[in-house]
Amino acid sequence: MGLGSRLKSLIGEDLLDDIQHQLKEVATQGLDRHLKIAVTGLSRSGKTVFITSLVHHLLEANQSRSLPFFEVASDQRIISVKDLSSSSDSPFPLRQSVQALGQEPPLWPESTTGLSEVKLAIRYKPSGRLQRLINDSATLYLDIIDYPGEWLLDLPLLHLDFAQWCRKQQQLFSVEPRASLAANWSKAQSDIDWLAPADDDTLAILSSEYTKLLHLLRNQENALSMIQPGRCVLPGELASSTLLQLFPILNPPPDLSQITAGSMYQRLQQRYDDYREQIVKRFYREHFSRFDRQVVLVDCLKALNHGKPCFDDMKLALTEILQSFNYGSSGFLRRLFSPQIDKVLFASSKADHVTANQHHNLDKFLELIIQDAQREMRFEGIDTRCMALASIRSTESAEAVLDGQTISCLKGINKETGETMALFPGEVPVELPTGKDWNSSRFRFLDFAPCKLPQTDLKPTHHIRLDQALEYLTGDMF
Amino acid sequence: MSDQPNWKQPVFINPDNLKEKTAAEDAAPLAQEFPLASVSVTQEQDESTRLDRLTRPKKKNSRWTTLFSTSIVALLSVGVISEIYRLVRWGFDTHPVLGVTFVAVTSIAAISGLIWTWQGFKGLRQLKQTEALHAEADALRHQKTHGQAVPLLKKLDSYYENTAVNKSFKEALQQIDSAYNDGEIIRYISQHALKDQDEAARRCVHRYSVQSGIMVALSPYATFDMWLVGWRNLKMLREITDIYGISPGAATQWNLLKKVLHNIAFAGLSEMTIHASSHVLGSSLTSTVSARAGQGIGAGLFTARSGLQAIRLCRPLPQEQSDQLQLSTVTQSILSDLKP
Repeated sequence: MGLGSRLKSLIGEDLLDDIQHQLKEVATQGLDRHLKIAVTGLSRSGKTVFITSLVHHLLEANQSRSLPFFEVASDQRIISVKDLSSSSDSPFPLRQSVQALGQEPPLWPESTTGLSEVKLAIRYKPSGRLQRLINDSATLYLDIIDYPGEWLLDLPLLHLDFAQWCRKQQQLFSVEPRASLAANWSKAQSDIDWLAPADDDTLAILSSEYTKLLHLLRNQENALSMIQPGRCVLPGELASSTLLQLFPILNPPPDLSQITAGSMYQRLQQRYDDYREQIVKRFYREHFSRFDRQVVLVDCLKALNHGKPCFDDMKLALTEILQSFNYGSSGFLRRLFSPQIDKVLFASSKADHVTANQHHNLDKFLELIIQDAQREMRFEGIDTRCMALASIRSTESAEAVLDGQTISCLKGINKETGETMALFPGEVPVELPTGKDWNSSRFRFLDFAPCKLPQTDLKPTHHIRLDQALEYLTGDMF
Repeated sequence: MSDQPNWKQPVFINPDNLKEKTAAEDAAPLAQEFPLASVSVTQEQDESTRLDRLTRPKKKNSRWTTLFSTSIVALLSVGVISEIYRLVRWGFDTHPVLGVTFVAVTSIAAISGLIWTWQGFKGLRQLKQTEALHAEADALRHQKTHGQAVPLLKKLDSYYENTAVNKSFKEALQQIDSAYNDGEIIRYISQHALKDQDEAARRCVHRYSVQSGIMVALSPYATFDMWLVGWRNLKMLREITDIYGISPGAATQWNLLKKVLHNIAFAGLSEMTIHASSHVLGSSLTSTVSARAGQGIGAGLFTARSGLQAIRLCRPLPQEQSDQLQLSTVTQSILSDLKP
């Protein structure tokens, strides 16, 4: 027995791994200034586009003046920005994404199916005269990860055991519209004796049914967010693993102490525990436990388009996800040894899909969605802010005269039909609309195709408030 | 004794037996009409005017003061005019060329004096305008509304017509994005239109602060220091007004100096803390260098503070950086320059 393995058995593998990991990071970071930004958001909320646009604008920051509210850039103190992503195991496909947005006609980047990383080194001139006396340039390293939003929903599983998870799902599936959509599946489940010896075929059939159900729940029409376990809908490298043959039991046996080894219930429980330990915990430990700043991207328009069930589901999903992050004020040493998130930006993405005078309302509506999560963060003394932004602007603002009144509207290319159109998408409510108001044709937030994002010579008109988001997230580091 | 506890035991009470609220207890006054004659309208007092009245006690000139000053002015002007008239007469009597020279010199003095006064008044008007614009922009700065910044921008446009700032202002105006809300527009213009001016003004403040610091440190007489600092300060004010396109003149300068001193005197606690921190910074220097050098640093800091106040008064748009931060950066740069 070597010293290493003895140590491992003494302290426990997880802790040792953690310590090793941390020591390694501290050693590499040294006295350099590192900032790790968590880009959090449910699937289709615009994480990849946000990262692409952010990195592209930053890489061009020394040449173009596209970030007027980002102080280092507008003062022209950025000397150069270098992309170090290639040193990572899974670099972010920046070139492809930028090319997709720069071609004719421009396309939104493909939705993410795996984990990837961006590392940037920003070389800049420090602002203070004293700092400049010591050093005429400094470097800030910026790390951002991109990952499928579906996987994020696994994070709440970390502090739930199988029985608790089943209870939660039971509550979820008892409410419309889930209840009626899942009627068949829950009926198929109800015939099964969970205490009987495990039958792998039945489990396989039920789990494939469950996966289909999850896909149904999150499709265009139903647009629900709380889809667990996330790997079932987007397995990544785990496709066809038995670990993913997993689903919640909606009518568990009343007495859990009777469960014997090898029973159906026990098999599922085992899988759940393995899934949690091997997939979720590893994902969390390797990528999610060390962040300094966080952006939470929320697609408010989706909630508005789909009505109250979608809104409620999104709110629940975001609140649960955000509980998995470490928040707290952090200083320099803290940032080095046990980072905590000390600034959170809630951003309602796709602000270009509403008229500019509705941005303020969009902020207010976003606050409705994230109010529970925000309350907890404020309690920890975290700096939070809401902002309506568009990583890549796909519409122009225009004005139209309707019944003698001038109204501002949007002009852009419809994503589905590819035709140019002008649209007044409706006003964003600042309070949750009641059921009656919601289903009438009050909102028409359509998806637009992106405007072309040039390779060089970027302008402030290519985004909305991306510079302010950057300033808020990183401004104090320069 | 022991079976008598000192707390009251919980008991169940029949809800029917609870004391009913009597009608008289919570009866709200009923709606009723009053005859018009019996009511008097409560006067809504305008907040601002009341404040004005509170803070600015009316100047009450006594009758004798006015009489005295008017008579003195009349006497002096009559004396001066008659004296000039006699001088010109005497000149013409002696030789026509001398007379013409006297007339020319007198008229030059009169015309230039008039222009000078007019400029001063123009500068004063500009300062007043600046103050009004500043207040308006400050109110808009954190608004998330749309379209309310337009009147302000129009006013700014006419304000900057025919000044050095005009070009950069127009450029910044063109680059305003359609998605910006009012607060963002104000911040954008403030950051981008006046960039060169801010930089120049900051350099000017820095230069004069260092100068007055060194002068005070080197001057042999303590009484001399005050004059030095005053002289540098006035010169700095003139330069700053020039940078921001405000017409220079004695009246402008005097008014600005008054306001600057007023602001410094009433700056309040926030600057006191800065002052304390700069003291801490300076104390190590003063102990190592000498009392004179410490005085020099103090004079330099004073000049810097008045310079920053002047910048604030000359700028129609509020600055983004907080005053504290600016002062500390300027302080740092002065200290690093004054350090032997």
